[in-house]
Amino acid sequence: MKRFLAVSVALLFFMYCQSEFPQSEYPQSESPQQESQSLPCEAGFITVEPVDFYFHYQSYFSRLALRSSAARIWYSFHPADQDCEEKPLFIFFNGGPCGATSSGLWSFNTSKMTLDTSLENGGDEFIPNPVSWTRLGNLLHVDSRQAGFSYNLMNSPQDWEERFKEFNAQNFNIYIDGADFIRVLLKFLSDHPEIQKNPVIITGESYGGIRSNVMLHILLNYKDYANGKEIYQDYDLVDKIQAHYDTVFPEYTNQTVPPEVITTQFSHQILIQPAVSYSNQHLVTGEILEQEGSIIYQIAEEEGVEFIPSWQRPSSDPLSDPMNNISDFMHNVAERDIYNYVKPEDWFWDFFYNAATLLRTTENLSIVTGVDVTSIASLYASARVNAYRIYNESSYDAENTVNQETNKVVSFEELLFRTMARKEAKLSAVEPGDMSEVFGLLQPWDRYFISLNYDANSAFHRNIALHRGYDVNFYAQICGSMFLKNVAYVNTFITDASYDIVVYSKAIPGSLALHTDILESSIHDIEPQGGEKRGGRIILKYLPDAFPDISGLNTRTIRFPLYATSGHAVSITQPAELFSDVSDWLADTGLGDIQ
Amino acid sequence: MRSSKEKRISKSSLILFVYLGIALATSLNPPELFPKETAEKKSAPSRETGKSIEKKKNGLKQKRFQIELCGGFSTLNLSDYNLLADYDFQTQNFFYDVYYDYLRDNGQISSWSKEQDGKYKKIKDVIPFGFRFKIYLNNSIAFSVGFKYLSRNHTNDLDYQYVITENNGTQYIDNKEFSPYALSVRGHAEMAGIHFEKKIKDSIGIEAYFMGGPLFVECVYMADWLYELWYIDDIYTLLMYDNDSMLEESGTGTGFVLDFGGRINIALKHNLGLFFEGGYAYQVAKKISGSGRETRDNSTTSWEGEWGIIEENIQTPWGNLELQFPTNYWEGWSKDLKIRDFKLDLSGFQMRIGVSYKF
Repeated sequence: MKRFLAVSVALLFFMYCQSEFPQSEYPQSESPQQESQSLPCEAGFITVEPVDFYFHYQSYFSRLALRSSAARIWYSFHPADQDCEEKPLFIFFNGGPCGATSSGLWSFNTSKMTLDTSLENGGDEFIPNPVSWTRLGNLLHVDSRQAGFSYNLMNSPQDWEERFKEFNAQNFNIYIDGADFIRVLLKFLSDHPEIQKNPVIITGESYGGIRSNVMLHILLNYKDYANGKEIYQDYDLVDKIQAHYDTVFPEYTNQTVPPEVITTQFSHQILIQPAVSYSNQHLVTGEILEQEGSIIYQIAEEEGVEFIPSWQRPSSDPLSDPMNNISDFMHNVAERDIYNYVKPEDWFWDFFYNAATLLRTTENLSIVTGVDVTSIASLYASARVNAYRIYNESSYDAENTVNQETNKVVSFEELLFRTMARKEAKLSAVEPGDMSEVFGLLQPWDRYFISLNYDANSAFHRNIALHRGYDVNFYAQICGSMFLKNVAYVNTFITDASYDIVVYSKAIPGSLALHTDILESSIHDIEPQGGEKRGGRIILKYLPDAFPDISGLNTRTIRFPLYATSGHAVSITQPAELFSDVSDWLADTGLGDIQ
Repeated sequence: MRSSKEKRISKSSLILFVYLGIALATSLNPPELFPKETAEKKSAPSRETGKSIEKKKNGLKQKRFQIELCGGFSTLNLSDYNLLADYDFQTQNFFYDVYYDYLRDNGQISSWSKEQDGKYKKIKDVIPFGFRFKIYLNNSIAFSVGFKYLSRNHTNDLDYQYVITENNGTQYIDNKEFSPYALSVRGHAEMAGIHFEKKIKDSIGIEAYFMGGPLFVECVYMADWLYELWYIDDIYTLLMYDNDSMLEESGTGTGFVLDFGGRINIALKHNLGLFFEGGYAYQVAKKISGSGRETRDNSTTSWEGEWGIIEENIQTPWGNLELQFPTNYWEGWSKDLKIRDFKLDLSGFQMRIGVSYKF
């Protein structure tokens, strides 16, 4: 009887959801038709125009002035199930950097449709999501520059040496990345006055934690990004933020809006296995995992292999770095998935690979977006003659990638992404699905979809800004400082997934404690409170005058629930628990209720 | 390029200079002296008196006017202006040599090397040229009006190259070529002065002089450079980044000159003379202002502004650098960083050689 009821409910829910996406009534994208009471689903591209910005060390003549390239940024919008005009807007993004949100959070248990994560790789079709976050609010999923469906534009894309120059600091650094997302978010809000003043909940996974740090720090301290105070100076962005605030906070027109007021809109961040103070996380994770009895030693014992700690290796050996050593052990010795160590190698990437394959089918993409994607003009080959996605076609050649892997000493991050690069390579020659048939054949340097753009990801690690000494990588200590300042104003939720080694969340409290110029202590409290199913908090005690511009800052608490059977992608491994905790936490912090 | 304001100033100073000359000529050679001589000539047209013979014998003494042309060498004390070259040298050193040392010492790169051709040259001397018109009151005292022109232009090509080798063998090459890197100053002064002369032999005299007047100056800083970053790995050598930039800042202003010293006069034939002069000139102009132009990535910004001295404290992970330097670009810099006014100081010791002609 119970089984019958469950099947019936599931069937009814499926029919309900399908009824929202009738094939003949897909709304138009790229020029959304507004409805007064109910917002339609949307998908398409928001164009980010070239932007002049610069990095500096308080020195005019030594500043590095750069101009970003135009980009068409892919987004998908789903309105809240009910009262969408009253509900907050979640903006979702995955990490990488340059990892696709579309084959990440969008495909797995946040949006209306999802792959079935109870099946290996998520199965072969998108099904209604029983824990769709549309019950909590409006959803905006965005692919970062050159990831997923997003693509850049340039003159002469056929010249591969010119394309090589495009994969540089003007397009790929933590600040322009965060600024891209602010531009897209503000443009989307200005195009949707019904929800322009609604609370915004920034939801990022993995590197998305750094992106959230940057976005919130810019939004809260926006004037400092045009008055010379911050290392990144972007006048156009600050003008756009001011214009947005003039609309949302008219009482502050022509004044600097204080952070306390700004956070009435940008009030919450949800970070899934995030990098927040990544260099410290790297350090603390290495220390914990190389201790005798750690999970790494347990894995070695289970697999019957030996783990040689980094400190037993000569300093000239790249594996003398603890995280390089752990990564090498997981991949090459234990052959376990570093994103979910109870699973075999590549278990995590296979979900993304599968989603990336399925999303290249027009029918699937229409189902997931709720939009007839054939109406999206910028998807067509004819609209993207100046588009490019990669600089070197051979870098997406499987054989070449393997050769590079054997010949080069690479960093921890590069090693992680090589696996996905190999998988992308398999898709490079002829992309799966019907997009070439529907939208036209693309140039060799263009792609309809890239799950993780290896060329773009590499540009975060190798670029002119880093070469000239500007600390704009996500290893920069300032990322942790930005996070701690943001937390002073913004309600923060971080997942604590037990099986993740890439972002070993047990190291997060300790890594924050290393910011001794800001914090007196960072304590991990594991006790559940008030009937919580999954306890966990990080209690931050700030030093007096940690931030001279914030008075009375004493302690802040970050919700840090434990996901005991989760790997890196918590929305894949424990989606219902994540949804439940987020909805409870939003209710506790003044936002939302489950419908 | 000179501004119209400066042209007007130069024109008016020239008028002033000519007026002063005429005034001196008329006031120091009273008209009554000449009628007496003319009367003598009229009264004895056919024979020479003893007095007139004496005048011919001592022709030098009897000539009241003298023109002089001179040129030479002058040391300069351009401390404010030369901060530009100091700044360029120190920022290169800090952002390359010190930075790469830091990376190497912290194990972030394997090694680095450097090659450099050319220097950030400072201006330490100047070549002055002058013209003077002297009117003798008597054998010992003369007044003069004069014109002095100073100019120095250091234009050279400068390039440097750094090769950085990462721990995995990947190399980067920083290449920066300035063409040109130029500092130049010019100035001219219109002066009036007094001279005290004493004969120590028939054809040799010594003289002390003291002159003063308005000073008009111009300075131009120009740096046009191409920066390239090359990436080299096992497979590729690729231009990763390039940037063609230009910065030009110029200024004009006024000040005054006090020029004093001594000299030796040597009489030659036919009213010609030779002199060697040595002394010190205080030549300072303040309130320098002018135009500026910057080009980066095919985008050009122009401005007008008064020069001032800025102090900046560059703080980086590899150290701090405190610098002072002049600029007139207040859209680029915050005026809060200005610590004092800029002065173009052309003062210095000077040695000159010249020729004179009495009539």
